[in-house]
Amino acid sequence: MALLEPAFLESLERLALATRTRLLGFFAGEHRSRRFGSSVDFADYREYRPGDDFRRIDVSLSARLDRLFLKLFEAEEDVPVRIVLDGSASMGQGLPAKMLPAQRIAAAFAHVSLVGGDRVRLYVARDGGSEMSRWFRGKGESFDAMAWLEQRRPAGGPGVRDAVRSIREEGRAGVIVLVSDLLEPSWEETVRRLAPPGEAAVVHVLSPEELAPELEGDLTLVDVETGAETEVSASPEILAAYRRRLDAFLAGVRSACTSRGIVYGLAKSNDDVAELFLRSFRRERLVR
Amino acid sequence: MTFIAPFALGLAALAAPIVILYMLRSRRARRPVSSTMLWDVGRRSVSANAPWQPLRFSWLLLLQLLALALVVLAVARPARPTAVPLGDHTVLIIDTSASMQADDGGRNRLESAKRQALKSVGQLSPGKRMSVVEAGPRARVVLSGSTDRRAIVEAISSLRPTDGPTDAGGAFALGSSLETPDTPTVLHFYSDGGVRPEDRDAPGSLVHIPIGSPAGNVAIGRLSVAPKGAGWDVFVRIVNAGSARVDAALVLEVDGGEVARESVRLDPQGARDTTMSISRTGGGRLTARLENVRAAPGTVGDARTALVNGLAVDDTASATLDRGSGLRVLLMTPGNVFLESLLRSIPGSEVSVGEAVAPARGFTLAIYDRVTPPDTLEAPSLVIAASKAPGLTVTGSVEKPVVDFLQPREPIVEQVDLSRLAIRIAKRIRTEVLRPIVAAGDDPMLAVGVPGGRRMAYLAFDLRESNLPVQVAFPLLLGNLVSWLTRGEGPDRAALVAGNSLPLRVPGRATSFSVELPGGFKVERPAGRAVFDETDRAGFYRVRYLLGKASLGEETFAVNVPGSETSLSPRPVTGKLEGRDRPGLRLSGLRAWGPGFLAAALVVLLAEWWLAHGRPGAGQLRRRTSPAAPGLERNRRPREEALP
Repeated sequence: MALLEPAFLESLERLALATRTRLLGFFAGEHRSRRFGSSVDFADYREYRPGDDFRRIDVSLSARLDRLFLKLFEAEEDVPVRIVLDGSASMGQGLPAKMLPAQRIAAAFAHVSLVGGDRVRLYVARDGGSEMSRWFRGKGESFDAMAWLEQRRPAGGPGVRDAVRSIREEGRAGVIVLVSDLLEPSWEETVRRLAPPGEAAVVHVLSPEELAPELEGDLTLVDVETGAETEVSASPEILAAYRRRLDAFLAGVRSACTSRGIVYGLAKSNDDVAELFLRSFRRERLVR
Repeated sequence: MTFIAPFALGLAALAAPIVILYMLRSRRARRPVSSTMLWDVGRRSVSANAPWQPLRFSWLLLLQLLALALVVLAVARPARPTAVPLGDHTVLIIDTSASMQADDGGRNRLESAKRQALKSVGQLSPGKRMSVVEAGPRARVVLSGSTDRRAIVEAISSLRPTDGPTDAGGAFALGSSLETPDTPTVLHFYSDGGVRPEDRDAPGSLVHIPIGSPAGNVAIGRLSVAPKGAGWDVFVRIVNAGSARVDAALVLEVDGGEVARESVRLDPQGARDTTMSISRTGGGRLTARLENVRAAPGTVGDARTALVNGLAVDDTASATLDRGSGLRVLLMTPGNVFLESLLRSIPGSEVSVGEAVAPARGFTLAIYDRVTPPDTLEAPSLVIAASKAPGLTVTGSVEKPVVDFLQPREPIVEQVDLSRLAIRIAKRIRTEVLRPIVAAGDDPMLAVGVPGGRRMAYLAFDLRESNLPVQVAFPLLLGNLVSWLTRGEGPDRAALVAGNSLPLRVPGRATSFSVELPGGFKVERPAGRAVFDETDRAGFYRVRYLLGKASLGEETFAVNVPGSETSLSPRPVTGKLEGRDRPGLRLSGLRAWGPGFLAAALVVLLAEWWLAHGRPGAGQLRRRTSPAAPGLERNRRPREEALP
């Protein structure tokens, strides 16, 4: 069963990644390019590939050469879109667990990007590194991307910081979409490394229990990634203190992102992903 | 039912701390969360002011208490009485003779005996004692009256097989000596029964635990040498104690080099005497060895598949080629070329021959062949067909006597085949002093004794009136007789068997002597102790006499496996459980059930672990069974229940 329903996929095709700066790209796409000033100047032709927007087929050239060709415009080059999904063990926590909605969000971003003519590579970060897919191109490979994501399971320790660092160290600009709960002490460094030269977006996924825990009695909380234990007594005072820390954490993440030009969106694991994309993320300008 | 270790029931008191710990136990549930970084907000325990929690029903507590109960039972070893005759004091006598090295279904008989003995140890009731006695060539007490099971097991495990006979009589005497008047004692004898006939009737309160199953065996029963010119004649007797016809190769080696080889075929329960000549002027170490022992072609039925050679150690025999025995013989005979030539063939012998009686003082041996000896013997004497001799009366003659009796286990006729002996006429004698060794009906044909303090043997027939001189048995019998007659206090040098003391001739100046054992290991002993009896292994023992570090000379002894170990057919030893009705004699053992309880305890512990850790929905069961005690949920909740 695919991560996303056909109806939702169809609705996603009306969306595009929102980018705020000009980007360097290589293939036909819908993003503005810093190299070219106009979005309507003809640049080149290239052969049609499955998944390309058939509306851009140059009918006359294709009729003459008996093959399908795509018309490229200077201002509409694609960008590499890297979607980093936090695959650590903490993403398996929550009721419902955060992993499945995170996978659906990542798949939705991938679909939006592929429909927009961008190429997409997926990363699943854990244990100080990441597992990455091949580059997907064209709408037709959207299901391949979803299938790749669907096979990932949460396990291991934190890894998004190192995954983002290694992507940025490649030195290539592009869009990075990070889908993570950011529940690790190095979250600030992660956000800092997401900052330009490339575009970046953060989808912060938390479970309802993490946002509003309902605990009773004395507990030993065990960190599923590090095994660290913390004994707490779930008194109203303690819960109130937790909520204060959580609010400060969420505010801190949002502030760190926005101050660096990173688009930020918060998602709960029990949110409807379609609703998120069609309303919340548009409002947050994650997509347009 | 009773308990072997009842004191272990005290361990049941551990249930109290388990319950107390359960009541005192911090009811802090363990909850997996994505991260603890937001939870460092306070640690005040809401239940710190209520350390005692009411005890509520818990499957986990129940399983833990059940596991403890099973462990306690396993340690306390509940047991039921069995019919094993164990006394308040049980003496385990274990046969370590050469025959116990025989194959017994993949292990040797001694290992089987030790296993059986260890089983008895396992059935020992608390407070009861056990002793361990080794019945080897020299019986010895290995462990005396111990209640320590570990010490008993170690004592049994320490026993090693020997190449010697079983001193069962000595072992029984030792075992009986360990009995005290107030402690009823039972002797357990673990043996294949290869004991001397006089030891078969064991003392009271003895139980024979038979070891081993019947098996065939081929052995070199006798090896002796005699100089012949510049070389040597080697007499070998090969015995087949099995039920199959057997083929084998007999190999002679001198100092490790093969000098002769001969194929032999042996009938079931048969023996073969063979003489082989080797041309070697000097001395050396002679080894005779059987190789490639197998059932002969054409053997059918059970005999073909039966084990034909169950004991390997007696496939080899050894002898020293030594010409210097220093034997001075006075032969008085009207004429006997067989006897004279045979005596002259004895290595280093000096034979003086005369027709009439002569003073025998100063001779090692006097032989009166058809010559009447003096009433008082002056030397060890062999009297042949004389009409008068000390210690006996000649009452007549007997024609064509048929030998039908050989004294069993008698070294003089050991491995001597007289089945084809034919005698035309013999003296009929009556004697109360001499002991018949060979007899035809009531008429002794050969009798030995010590009349007047001198060893004497009387042969009732003229050698010329029999076919004995032309049989292989003749040199063997005469050799045995000479050995017995001329033996000092020590054993015969030419017929040493494992367990015998070496007849050392320690020079007066020697301060010590060293012995190189068959395995190459060397031991040194002070000269004052001129006895060396650590001869449990067959082979060559090289003795060097020392004055400080200087050598005063050396000699080599050949030690062989005794012929009594050849037969591998288990034989019963008649034990009488004397005093079965004696008050206080406990004739029952205990069979413990311990291992089963341990296994059950392990299963219960696994169930407890599974309930606590592994079973999906275990938390639901715990909550259902202990709704007010969330603290009992010490483990990870299932994933669908996970809370931050």
